Amino acid sequence: MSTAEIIALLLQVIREISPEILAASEAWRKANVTVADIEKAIAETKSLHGEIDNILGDSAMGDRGGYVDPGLKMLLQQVLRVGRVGSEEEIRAAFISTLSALEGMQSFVELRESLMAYLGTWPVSPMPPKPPLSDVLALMEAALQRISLS
Amino acid sequence: MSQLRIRHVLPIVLALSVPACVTGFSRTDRLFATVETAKYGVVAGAKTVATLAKAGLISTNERETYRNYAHSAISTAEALENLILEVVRSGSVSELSRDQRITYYAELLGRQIKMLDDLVVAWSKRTKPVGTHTAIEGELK
Repeated sequence: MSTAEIIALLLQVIREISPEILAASEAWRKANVTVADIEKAIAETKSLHGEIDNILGDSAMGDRGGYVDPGLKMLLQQVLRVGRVGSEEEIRAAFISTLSALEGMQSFVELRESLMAYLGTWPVSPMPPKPPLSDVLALMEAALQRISLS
Repeated sequence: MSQLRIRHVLPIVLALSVPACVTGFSRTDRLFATVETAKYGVVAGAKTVATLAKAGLISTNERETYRNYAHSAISTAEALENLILEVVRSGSVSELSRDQRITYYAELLGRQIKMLDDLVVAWSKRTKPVGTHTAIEGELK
């Protein structure tokens, strides 16, 4: 690329991200945040998953839009049961099988990362702290809900 | 492209440590602003990645890597916002387990944002197009 092309690309990027820069600076001027502010932000955050996919285009992994193997729903239901009543060893075994089932999927990234942190199989250093079991199970429940809705 | 280094506008440690009497902004205000900044940073990063991809400077695999971690960071931001909501609704920040969870997610979000930022900064330095499946060996040498 020529210098002119690189500068043009830089200017294009700056022009495109200027709304985000403005929005972020606005957030830093907000004192005494209210419940309404946070509820609005949460609703916006939920929509960001779709926005990220729209910006980046269709996922090359082919599971955009929440499509998942129907068997995953059954697996998650079983693992949730084990997670609530099983021994630590049983829970770890069930989580490992869940992690394998989620391998290579773009959906449920947060669940996969939480499982990796719980099992101590985080791929890069530094290893994040082990999340509470209740948090992992809550993510699993949320994943199940998403499957049911899709 | 140093102006795009979103971690420089994400001072999580500072946001959580400066007393309210100094700035007029409570810890909750700063945590909220930090999370919002992180969210906008992830979207801005995605726009940058999309532009670089169109220019042929980022491979499909690399774009997918960004997508993967971007979704993860957005989920962490949502978890933090839900905790902030709990704090504002209850009017208390002293509940220990909630405080530990806020710290856990804030640290996780900080790591995720740093990772996304490092990727975007490395890719933004490229001046030659990459092949569809080229990894980032160039930056690692």
